[in-house]
Amino acid sequence: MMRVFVIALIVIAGLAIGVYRAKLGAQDNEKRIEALRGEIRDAQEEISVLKAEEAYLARPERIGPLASERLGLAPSSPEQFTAPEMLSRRLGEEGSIPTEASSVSGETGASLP
Amino acid sequence: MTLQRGGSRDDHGGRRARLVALALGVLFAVIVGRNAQVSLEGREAGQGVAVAEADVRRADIVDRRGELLASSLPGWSLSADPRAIWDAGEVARGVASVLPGIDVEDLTKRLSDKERRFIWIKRGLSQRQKQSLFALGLEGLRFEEEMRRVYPRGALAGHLLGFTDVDGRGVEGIESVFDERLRDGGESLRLTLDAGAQFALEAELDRAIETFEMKGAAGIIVDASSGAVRAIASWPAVNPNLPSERMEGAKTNRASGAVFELGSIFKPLTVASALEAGQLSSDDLFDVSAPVRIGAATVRDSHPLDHSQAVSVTDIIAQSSNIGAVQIAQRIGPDRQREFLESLGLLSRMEYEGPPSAAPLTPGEWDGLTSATVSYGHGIAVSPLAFAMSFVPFANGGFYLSPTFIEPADQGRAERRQVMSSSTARTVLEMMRYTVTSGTGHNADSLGYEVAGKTGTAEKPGPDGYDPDRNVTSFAAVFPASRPQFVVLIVLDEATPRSGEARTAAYTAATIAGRVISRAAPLLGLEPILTSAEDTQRQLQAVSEARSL
Repeated sequence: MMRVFVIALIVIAGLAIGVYRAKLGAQDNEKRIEALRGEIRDAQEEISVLKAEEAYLARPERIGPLASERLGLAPSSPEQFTAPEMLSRRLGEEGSIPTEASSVSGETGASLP
Repeated sequence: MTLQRGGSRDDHGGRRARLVALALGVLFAVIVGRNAQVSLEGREAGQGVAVAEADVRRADIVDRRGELLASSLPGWSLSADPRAIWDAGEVARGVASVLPGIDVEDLTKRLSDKERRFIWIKRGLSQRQKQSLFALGLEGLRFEEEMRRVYPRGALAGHLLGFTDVDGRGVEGIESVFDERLRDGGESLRLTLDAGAQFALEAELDRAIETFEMKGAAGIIVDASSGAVRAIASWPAVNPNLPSERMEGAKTNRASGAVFELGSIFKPLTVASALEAGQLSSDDLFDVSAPVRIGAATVRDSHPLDHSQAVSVTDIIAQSSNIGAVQIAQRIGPDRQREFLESLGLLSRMEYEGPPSAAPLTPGEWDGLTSATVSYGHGIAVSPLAFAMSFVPFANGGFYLSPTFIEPADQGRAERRQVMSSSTARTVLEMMRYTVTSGTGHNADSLGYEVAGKTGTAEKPGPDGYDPDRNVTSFAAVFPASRPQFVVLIVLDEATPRSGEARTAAYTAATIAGRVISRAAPLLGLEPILTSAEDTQRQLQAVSEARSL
């Protein structure tokens, strides 16, 4: 009887230690999870801020003047499009422009088909 | 006796041992059970979820390509504990030095109320404002972190998007209509809007003020295959970041929240209803040389037509003859005309998933005179959005579609019903194309985009009847005519050309519509249709001359 009692006490002590360790582990995990959640939240907020900044900086009213001043770009107009069958003729027409311009500097314009 | 006493002790000892064993067994079972529960469930369920739920971030709003239109960012709100403040005046002056909109006298009074432990001072502070206030080191102030709604593209689609209140609840527009969906967080709400086309439309309405004096304007671009609204704008624009700073004239959303008598852009509908009723053939000729009398009223044309005794239906549209439209309406009768307009959603408030459209103002009694005025767009007032949708059947073979604002637009979101045959739609479309190439819509032509459309000029009603000095001018269009894809409607409120040209749609709304189409069409993925180099040169020259107002 005494043997059973002692064994039971040992088992209970072992289980108590197991429960205690499990609880400590759970608390540690909980802290880690909370920390990770916080990091995710911060990262998501940062992404949101960056996306909003990107959208703000990419506003057409800002990009338009910059593209025009620094790159010489302008909104496309219908006359800039052409049908495939008219391409060779169109290239021929535009080919005359650099030839005239290049004659000023003495260079030869690229010959276009 | 001894043996008996010893036996009694043994009995007691055995019973105690069994009791202890039982207690230990129960304890053992409890510990094993609890151990199993902790092992399987980890921690107690439920904790932490409330925190996560409380932190749900209002979903973003994006355009059809994913361009960000509205987002929620961390911000700060300023509060104070009056009991912790010694000198309320000093704190109020300090706060006002960073936040100029603060009423110092009022804040001093509120901060002096020692009965209270909490008052809000200002919500929705920026990071910079927070840092500036923090640096002042004022007593009793507290900063509460909370999400604030931002619209990074400023006024773009401001009327459509609406805005939220300080507590993050949708107040107007998409923010209000889809408030629950947005507050649930999750995926971004994807609109049918195309930010590029929207910008082009708004920029051209903005630019119109250089050419015209005007009170307001509205513009709409709709994809005729799905009913998806690709752009919708009301001028003056409103910046949803600063809703309280809206100008008085900007409070009305003229594109969907207001109704107008739109004038002659109703004439293609009159012709379509007569064709559908079998009461009109495109070859019929009409005598429009004399005014039409209906009871005490007389209907005239503002300008005489060539060969006015034998005018074709196409010329009635192209030269915008009121007399001709009335004669066509008389053929179909008031009932059929009303039924046709009803089928196009023009006689009742539209039902759809999006910010509500204003209810139309319709005639109380639909008699001969009503039918006559409605045939050329008077006596009935509808929202520009409702009218734009009535032109969609001309572009898709005869199907009416309700407007849709949420992607995916092609998954049965729009109400769809056939309201005219494809041949009727095609015939009227050709008449409208002729109106642009050879009629009143000349200024709307856009190189390569085969604009088909109709002008409308309507005098505005005043206390003493219609006022000839105040017009609503409009242009409703379908493009490109040979493979129609989009409907465009431009409405200008009291537009007067600065150049001294006439205040009619031919010189106002048609010009803006042409500019909008030229600019928005490539952004909507539409390539111009160019037939030959000579045609291109000729069209280009014609368009340039027409635009040089």
